[in-house]
Amino acid sequence: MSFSRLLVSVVAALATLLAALPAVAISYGGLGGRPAFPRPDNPRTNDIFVYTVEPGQTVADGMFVINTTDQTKTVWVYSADATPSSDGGFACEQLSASNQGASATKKDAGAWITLGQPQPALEAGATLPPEVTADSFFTPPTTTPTDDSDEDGDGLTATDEAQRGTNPKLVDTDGDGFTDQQEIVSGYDPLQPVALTLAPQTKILVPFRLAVPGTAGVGEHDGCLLIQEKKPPVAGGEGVLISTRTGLRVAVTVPGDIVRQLAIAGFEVRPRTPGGKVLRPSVRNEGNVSVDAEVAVVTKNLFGRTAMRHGGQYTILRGQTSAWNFEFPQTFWGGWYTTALTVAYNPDTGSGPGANASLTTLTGPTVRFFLWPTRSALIIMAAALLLLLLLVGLTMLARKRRQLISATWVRYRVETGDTIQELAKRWGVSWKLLARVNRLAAPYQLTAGVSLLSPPGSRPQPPRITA
Amino acid sequence: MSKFTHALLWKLNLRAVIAIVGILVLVSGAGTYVYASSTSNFQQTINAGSLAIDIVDGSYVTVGSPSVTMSTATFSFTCQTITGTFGSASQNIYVSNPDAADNGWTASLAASATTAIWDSAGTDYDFNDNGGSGCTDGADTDTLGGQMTVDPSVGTLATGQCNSCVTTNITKGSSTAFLEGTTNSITVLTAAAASNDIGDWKLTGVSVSQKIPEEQPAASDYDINMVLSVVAS
Repeated sequence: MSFSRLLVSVVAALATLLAALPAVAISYGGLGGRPAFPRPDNPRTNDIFVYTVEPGQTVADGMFVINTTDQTKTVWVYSADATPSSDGGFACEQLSASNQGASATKKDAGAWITLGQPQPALEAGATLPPEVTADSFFTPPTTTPTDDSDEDGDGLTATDEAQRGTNPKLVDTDGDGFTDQQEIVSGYDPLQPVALTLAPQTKILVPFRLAVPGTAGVGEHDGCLLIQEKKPPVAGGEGVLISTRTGLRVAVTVPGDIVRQLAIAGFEVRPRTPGGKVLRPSVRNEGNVSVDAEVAVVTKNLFGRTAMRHGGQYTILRGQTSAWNFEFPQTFWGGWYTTALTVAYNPDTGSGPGANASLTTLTGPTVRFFLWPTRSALIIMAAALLLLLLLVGLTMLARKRRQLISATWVRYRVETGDTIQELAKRWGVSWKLLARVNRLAAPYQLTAGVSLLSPPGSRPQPPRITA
Repeated sequence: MSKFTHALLWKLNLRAVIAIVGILVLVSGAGTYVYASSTSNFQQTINAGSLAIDIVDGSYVTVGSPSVTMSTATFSFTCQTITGTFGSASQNIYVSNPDAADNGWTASLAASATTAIWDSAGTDYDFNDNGGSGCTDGADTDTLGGQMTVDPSVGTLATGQCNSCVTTNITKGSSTAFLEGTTNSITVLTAAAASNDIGDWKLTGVSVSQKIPEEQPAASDYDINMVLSVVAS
């Protein structure tokens, strides 16, 4: 078989093998949620809840609580107010501050959410029929005559339960282990946290209503819908005991005099462990709604060539200053660098999260910094310097040799039987040097009587050669 | 003339040596490092899912009762600091995003309540009080001293099981101390909108330090409950 045929056969076999590979299923097993009714006009609503609601109005929506793990999970589902995390990050209040009714610890968008009756479980990949909408799960309140019956025996009359939205047929509507009456008496929310049990690879739709109070101020109000695994307390634990939860942001904009304005708060360059620098821009939101900012940090080397770009689109929350730690790792050769910050955002007051428009750009300060070379680079630099010095030395040596030959070498008349190797050995020089100085070519045969240049001291002593 | 000088002058092949040294100079001067990575591509089926955070072991199996063990301290008449590491080879902080948070997300750490404390059968101490630089009781709601600092910036962020996701556009938070009412939550990771829509990441080596007030009674069962959250934003 010829080589080309063999090559074609091998390539064909590899291609067939690759095509026949089974699909590799990646299952990011996790516990979390997604909006159940994303709006086609705003792709952001695939991930979070975004509303513009007039004070006093109510919207209905729903969240899928999803379990893609291979275990049955019991979770709490609850709403909470947003709270700033360090560096201006988005975070949510804890369950402990969220399971109470509207109170000092829950008074913003988290308190405006009322969770509805969880729906029957679906397969994780299932979709809702198109006729199902967020409004399908809520019936308009009707005026009914006073009913003092208490079918579930929780101490609340049917009229009370209707007013509070609790289930007149369930002692504990949200399933959190406390009766509706106990929660109401203690100032807790009888409707949440909702306890759900999800089989592996299933999801449950939890409908909810968001009622914006008539007194809500203009601007953005942020809350969260959270899914937290219900775990028994750890007995005899020691150290920091960790539990986890996943949340979805609920961004509610109350229309009015909307201000979308950012300002650059600072730009620092800090040392980084284990080497390099941390480029830390910070941007302040001076408006009353969150703003998606395009933050760009461009770092150039001494020659103006871009060494690294950092940044991206980040949400800067209302009233917050966000900061990011962009890592500029130790570069191999080190050197001087200049880094510059720009921030672009959409100032259009008519747009909310997810909207597109022309951008306004802010330019921040330019910071110059120096990075030491790595140890390996220093060794290479030192070696290169040594080699360079050696090169200079050798060049000088060659020049000196030429000068010496010109000044001191003498003529020698070749005698019968002389060979270049024998003469070089006798005179203590390299035969190649002798050949080169006398322009002898291979096979370097010497003819008796021919005159050769030879080192001083070679016999016989011919007259001196002058330059 | 010494033997060495004689050899240098009359025996050394200077042309060859100069050529070799010149090449070495060029090679060392122009030396660069090339970082290559394999980019194998396989067919994938992405199951429907949601943004999630978990503590997993090296095989991506959820750790039942994750915890951070702090260094041991002995009774002291002065304020002292204990340390721990959040995220390790056996307890990775793990975030997975199966196309469920395309505009970014934030992972943060907070106590289960702002009024939480390091609890023991005997006495307790605080985690979010900056009185006396964290050593004494300050103006918060309890009467305990003590302050915890979390430094995600020293952690190591790496990709998980994904074939092609990267850590680009995910930044680690700064070293921050808890302070009741002011800093109740510490940002651990922030993912920009340009971070991978589909990917999973592991964070290890987050530094945790805790100031313990002077004369804090010895106990072996101090614990505190904290919640690690990830929120699509």
